[in-house]
Amino acid sequence: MSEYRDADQETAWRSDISAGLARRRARENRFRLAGRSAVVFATLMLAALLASLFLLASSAFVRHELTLETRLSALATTDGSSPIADFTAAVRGDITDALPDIGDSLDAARDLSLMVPRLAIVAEAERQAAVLKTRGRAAPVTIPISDDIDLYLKGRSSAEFVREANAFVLTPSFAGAATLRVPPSGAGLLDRARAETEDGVLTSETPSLLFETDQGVWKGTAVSENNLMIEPLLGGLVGAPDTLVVSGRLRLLWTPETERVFSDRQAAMARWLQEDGLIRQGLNLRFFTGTDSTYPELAGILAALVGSLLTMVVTASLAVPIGIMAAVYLEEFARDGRLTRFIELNINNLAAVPSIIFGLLGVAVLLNLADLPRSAPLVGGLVLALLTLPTIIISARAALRTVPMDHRNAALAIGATRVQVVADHVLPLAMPGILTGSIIGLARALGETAPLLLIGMVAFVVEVPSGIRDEATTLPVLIFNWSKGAERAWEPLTAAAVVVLLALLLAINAFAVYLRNRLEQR
Amino acid sequence: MDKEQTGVEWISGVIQSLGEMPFGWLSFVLLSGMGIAAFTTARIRAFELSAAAKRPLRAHPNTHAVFALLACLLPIVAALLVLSFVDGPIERRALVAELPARLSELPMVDLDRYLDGLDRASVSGPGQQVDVFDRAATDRLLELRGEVRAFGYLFALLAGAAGIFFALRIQTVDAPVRRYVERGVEIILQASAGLAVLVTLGILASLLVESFRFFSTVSPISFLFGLEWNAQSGRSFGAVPLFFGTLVVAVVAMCLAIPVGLFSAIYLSEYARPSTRRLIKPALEVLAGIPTVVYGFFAIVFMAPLVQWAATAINALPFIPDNFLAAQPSSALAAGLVLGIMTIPYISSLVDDVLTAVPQEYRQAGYALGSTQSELIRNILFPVALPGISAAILLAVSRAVGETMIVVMAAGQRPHITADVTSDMTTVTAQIVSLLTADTAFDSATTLSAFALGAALFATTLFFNQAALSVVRRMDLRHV
Repeated sequence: MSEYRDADQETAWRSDISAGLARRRARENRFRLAGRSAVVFATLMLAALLASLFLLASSAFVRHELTLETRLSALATTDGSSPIADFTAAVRGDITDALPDIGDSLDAARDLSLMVPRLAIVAEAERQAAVLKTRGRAAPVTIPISDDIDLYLKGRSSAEFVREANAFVLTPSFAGAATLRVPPSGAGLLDRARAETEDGVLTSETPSLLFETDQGVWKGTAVSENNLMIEPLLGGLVGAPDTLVVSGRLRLLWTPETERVFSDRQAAMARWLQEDGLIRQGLNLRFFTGTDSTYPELAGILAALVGSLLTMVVTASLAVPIGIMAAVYLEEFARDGRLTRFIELNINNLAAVPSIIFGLLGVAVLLNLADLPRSAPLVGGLVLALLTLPTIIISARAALRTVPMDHRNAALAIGATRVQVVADHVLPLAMPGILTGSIIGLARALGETAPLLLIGMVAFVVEVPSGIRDEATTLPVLIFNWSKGAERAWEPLTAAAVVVLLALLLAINAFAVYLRNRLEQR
Repeated sequence: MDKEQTGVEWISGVIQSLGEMPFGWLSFVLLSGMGIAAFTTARIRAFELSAAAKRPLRAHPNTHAVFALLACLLPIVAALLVLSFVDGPIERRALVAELPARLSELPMVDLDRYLDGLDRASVSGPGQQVDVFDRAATDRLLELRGEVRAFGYLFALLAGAAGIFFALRIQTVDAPVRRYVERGVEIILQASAGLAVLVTLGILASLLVESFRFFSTVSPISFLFGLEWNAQSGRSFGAVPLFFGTLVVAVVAMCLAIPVGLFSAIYLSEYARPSTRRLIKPALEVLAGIPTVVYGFFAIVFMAPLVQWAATAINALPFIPDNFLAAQPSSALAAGLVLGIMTIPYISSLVDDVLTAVPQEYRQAGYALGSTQSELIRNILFPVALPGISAAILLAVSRAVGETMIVVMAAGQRPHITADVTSDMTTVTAQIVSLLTADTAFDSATTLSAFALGAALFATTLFFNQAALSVVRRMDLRHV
């Protein structure tokens, strides 16, 4: 055999082939790995998206609230009208009563007044006045506290380290200041703070150290190995003796005071009130019952939800019937001609037109030509109806195509007209698919934002819209507006609104699938 | 004399209340009233005809009734549609003519907003209005609306009556009424299908008309080739920076979406076990169902900080000059990456469909020749599916170019040309939004430029879609 003349050549061939096989196998593995990593990457991105949104949103569904009673109820029983200025003063008075002496500096007064937003007090005062009129006595007052403090109490503004001990040695010096000898258990905190300072001097640009006892809160001014120079922030020692041993709590706020939106004093006040049980965490119901506001702690999604609903009513009542009729025409009646092909071409093109172009159409035709009101669900619904029409037509046609030809032939054979064939035989069979497709198309429209921005649905809407000509906004647009908010508290709120939107879409899609399964079984 | 006076008052009272009634309810009452009248008269007439001729009709009496119903309602619906489109402009123009100069000479935008306010008050009741003059204006608006509607509804009523009359004239024992009804229903269905054409025409007309108005003040050459965009001030309208921003964002998106989408489709259709496929495919579909505004928010809170952090880290490397990358808080790169994530499922699901559509014989032939799975995919399936794959990519590009919310929220607002993707850029769609959400008069070149941009965007996406369609058509001819 000529091929095997040379044993060396044979080995060379064999090694060539096995090298080639190894190379091919390696290439195969690389290819498979590329595919697998692409899938992993895509799912990881989905996970990152959902996780970051849910993590952000989780804090927005609860909120810290201030519950007050004493002076307010007194005020309420003396005077039924309860003017807002008195009410504000009473709220501030109640807070001051609960706190140790805050002193009478301007800073302290400012810090106190920023704890509770004025707008929240106004709304609560109005509610109290109404309650008083109907029931004759005031209800317990719960007021949302300022969003910055709320974020701080949720631990989202600054890293915080706390050590509790009962062997702090306090040696008063002059003017309320004192030297604090910190027990070994708290020395770690001091070290950590000292590492951030120059020569141990604590300023507003270094982390803050607060010392809390049941008599007041002190603020650290200088830190050495295990001593802390402190001066009073809230309350303090009245007629203090020489040296005393106290139990207390050392709190290290990592973000320097200049880099956060609340002061050391506010942090101390908030913790104090929380300790007393005046500040409690409650469900953030206002998020669902409130409307848009310039204050994140007062903002809610109700108006946007209603706006979305009204817009969807307009969209559904136009796009679904017209879409079904168009699909029926194209599938059941149209003869294959130039006109039909032209219509089909149009529908396919429209389905791929960017949504913002429909917004431009709305501006030019509906707002400027037909003079319909801006920012109204009527116009928004019309634009979204045009936008979803091609999608609904395409999915309805697909559903109609699944009905077997035999049904049509059988009906025609016993003398039914074409309209009767469609109405009595084809449509009932195709309905599950048509409805599912329509609902999914409407879910898309529910998440649509860009065209609504152009027709003015970005307006700041405080009142819940009551009709389709009212000024309104929708949930996605609200998300867009909130995402531009400068204050940090908008971020969790926006994420919460996103979660609501996603939950709505999930529910709608699940309903569509359920509907299909159920109707198909019958 | 006295009697005449009260008569006039009564009529004006009717007109006033006609203006106050909601359009939807009025139309509903009109339609159902006329409908019932048409249906019953035609039905009774059919029975009478049959009794007189002493033999059954050629069509069922109910068909006669439906015929009359269609003949009556179609003209009414047409009349009401026309009315609903023209009543607003007519009322407003009439009202503006009567307004004092301090209002009627306001800029268009403010006047429109004022009229919108009156419009709302006229629907929801004047309770909100404090100003006495505004109340009077609202009342006058209602009166004008009543007059317009009185004409409109009278016309619709007459049209409906004419329809009934026509139907009754047609009715005979031997009239092929069933065929007429079939034809009528078909015309209605055809009209709804034709609406799609109407929408396309509307888009084309509005984009072209407004663009022509824009190009009467700004030359198309300087729009298409100008390097400076400063539309807010109304001075320079060179759209190249916007086209460039759009291109950069789309390229970044495609660099991410094409490999990931392609490889996940290949993996899912060729390698993955059915159980994995059942799990991953819906996950990718979830990615496709998430609203774009959510992606935009994700870009703001996750991707943009990540990009900025990475760019700062690169800047801090020893051999890199200071401020080599802009490291802006919003960047074209962040927007492009998120846009890419959004387009992954479009590519992967389309490519998946194309790959599964390749006939099984190709695979068997490949294996028979001794190729490995990846060689089969690369050398046989890929070339066969190439038209479908390129169509998927073209559609994804079209979507990336037209996407709005992500770039509005994450790409920034600065029109400039730079190779640094970590700096903020603006795109065509982002500019359209910022131009039309700003408070400017509609007639200004600033607002009109949004339509010119829209026309450019429409042409681009149309081109990509058509290219995708023609590629797919070629594939169909070859393999199916």
